[in-house]
Amino acid sequence: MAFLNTTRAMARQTCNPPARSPACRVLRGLAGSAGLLALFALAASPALQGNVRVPEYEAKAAFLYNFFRFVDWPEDVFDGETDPFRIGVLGVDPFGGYLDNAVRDRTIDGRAIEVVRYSRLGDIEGVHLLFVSESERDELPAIMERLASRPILTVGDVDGFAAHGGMVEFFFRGQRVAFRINHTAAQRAGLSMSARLLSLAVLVEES
Amino acid sequence: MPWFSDTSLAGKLKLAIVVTTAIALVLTCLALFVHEFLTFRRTLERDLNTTADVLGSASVPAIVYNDPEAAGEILNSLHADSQIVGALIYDDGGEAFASYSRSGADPAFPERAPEDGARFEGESLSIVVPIIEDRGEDRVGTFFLKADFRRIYERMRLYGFVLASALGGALLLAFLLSHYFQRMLLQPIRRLVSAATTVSGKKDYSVRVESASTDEVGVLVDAFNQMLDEIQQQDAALRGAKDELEVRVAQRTRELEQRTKDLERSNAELEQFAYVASHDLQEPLRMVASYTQLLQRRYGEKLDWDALEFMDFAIDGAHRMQNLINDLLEYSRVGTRGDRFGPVDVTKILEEVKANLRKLLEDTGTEIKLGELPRIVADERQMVQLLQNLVNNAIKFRGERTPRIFIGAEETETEWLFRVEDNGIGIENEYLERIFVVFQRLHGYSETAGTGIGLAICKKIVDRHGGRIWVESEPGKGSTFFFTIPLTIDRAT
Repeated sequence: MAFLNTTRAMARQTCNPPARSPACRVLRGLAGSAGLLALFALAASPALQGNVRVPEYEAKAAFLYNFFRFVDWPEDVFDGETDPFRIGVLGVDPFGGYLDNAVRDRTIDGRAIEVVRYSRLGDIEGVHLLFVSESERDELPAIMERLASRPILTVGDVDGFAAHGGMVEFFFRGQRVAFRINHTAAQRAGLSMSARLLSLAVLVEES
Repeated sequence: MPWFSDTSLAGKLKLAIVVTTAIALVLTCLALFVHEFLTFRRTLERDLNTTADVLGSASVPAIVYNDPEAAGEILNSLHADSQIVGALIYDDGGEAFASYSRSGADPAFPERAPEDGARFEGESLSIVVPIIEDRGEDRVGTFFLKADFRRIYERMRLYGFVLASALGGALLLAFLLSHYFQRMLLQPIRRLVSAATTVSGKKDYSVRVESASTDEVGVLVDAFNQMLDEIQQQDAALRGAKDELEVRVAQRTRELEQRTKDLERSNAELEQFAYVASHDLQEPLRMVASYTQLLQRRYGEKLDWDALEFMDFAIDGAHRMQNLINDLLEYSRVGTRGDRFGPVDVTKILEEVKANLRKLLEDTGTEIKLGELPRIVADERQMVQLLQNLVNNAIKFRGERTPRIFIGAEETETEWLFRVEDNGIGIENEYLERIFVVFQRLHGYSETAGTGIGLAICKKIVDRHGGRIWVESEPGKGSTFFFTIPLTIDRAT
């Protein structure tokens, strides 16, 4: 992963997009192929999985709290103006300390951001955003059904998450984290999403 | 500026108006031009700031979600604004994230995000603004935007052209108006000028100028008219006085003519009288002298020495009286027989004097030295008389030494100053004035011959010419007689 980071960093530093110099292209190609290689390595060696996810989840942690910038919850989910945003993590927490670091001392709309971890769906309470860990993959339909119409932004990185009713699904585009959005699901839950956010995402229809 | 003061009033006025207008217009246009330029720049800066804010804001999600392509697409919309040279978004670490460059341009993007603010560099303006996500109040990146002034320059060129045209048009208008104004303003002055020229040229004092306004020119016109009134009055008065004077002068002239005639008559009578008197006076004297001489001759041997001596005395007395009479006659003739004054060469006069006194000069061995002698305006005959008398005196009153006489002349501002210097016996101080009086003789009869009238005659001649005569002397050394003849003789007789 360090290698991947280095090449990525190098590509960004010396190849300010859209630079066209051959050196850039080589480096980016190198970075790209390194990424591909890493993905294969990821698939091939479970031992590396833990390492690959650390920076990945740093990025995802940042993405998570940023959703508070671009999504509006209905007024009544907050008790008052200083009520904090709450991020829930359901299942095995893949973020390590990244999520806590990311939200520490941050405010959005003047509200602080808290992180709460849950092992059971039934415990979930007063949460605005719920990250469903991969560990709950098998329970997904049930979870979606239980959460339907509650004003909770559901985020996951399991493949097909959005198609099955999840609102935001993380995936990899090249070596960058991207996301799919199931806008219908969000609208059903009473959440309104900024058009700018939607323009960055791949929109997904429910199946 | 001589050329300026010699141009007509009309030209001056037109020039003044046009120059003033031109200066005012040029300054205004300059001010407008500069103001426009500054305004354009400010507008550009404001527009850039707005653009940066808008696009920065739009690109927040792309930055936050690390999507440079999405950000790049947002930036590409800048190609619609031809002024923008380039734009670059830096992430929160100051690293370049996404950019746009105008085709063919090199915006020279800074490698790392520079300080916020605006920078004018030569022909371009770059602004650096923070990209803020306002819900979180976080600075998520930096927006760098660079534009060049080409549009400003185009606008300025157009503006400049418009201003220049307006300037040209306005100046032309000013010129035309000035032409009209000067005619209107200068008309009364022109009338004044023409009137004044008529007055001074034809001496026609009846000219007046119509008063058309109450401004300074009107005041001048009124003053002019008033002056002419006075001049006319004075002129009439002068003419009257002149006529009166002429009458009086004619009268006086008649009186003078009459007097002159009377004087001439009396002169003639006097002359006649003198002539007759002298003859009649002399006749008996001659008788006395001749009969006494006859007695001397006929009866001389019968008489004793005393008787003969007595007879000598009688004859001598008679002769003396004759001389006296002649001298008196001559003295009186100085005035009555004077000639008209004319140009006289003093050198020639002295030649005549020397000729007249030739025997005396030879016998006494007198030396006469002459200085530079001028031509003067005088009575020639009387000049001869004057100088002859003086020279004669100089010789007569010589001392032991050989007489040496110097005659010179000096010109002053108003007269000729002549000097006759001798080395004779000199004259005592107390007698310096008396010698010019008739019959004053300073020495005993036996010492010198002469009746003592010579210098009186000299004085009368000099007086007639309007000059002065005097003497300076050192007894024993000599005397110098001075006399002056004015340069211009006012009286002609």
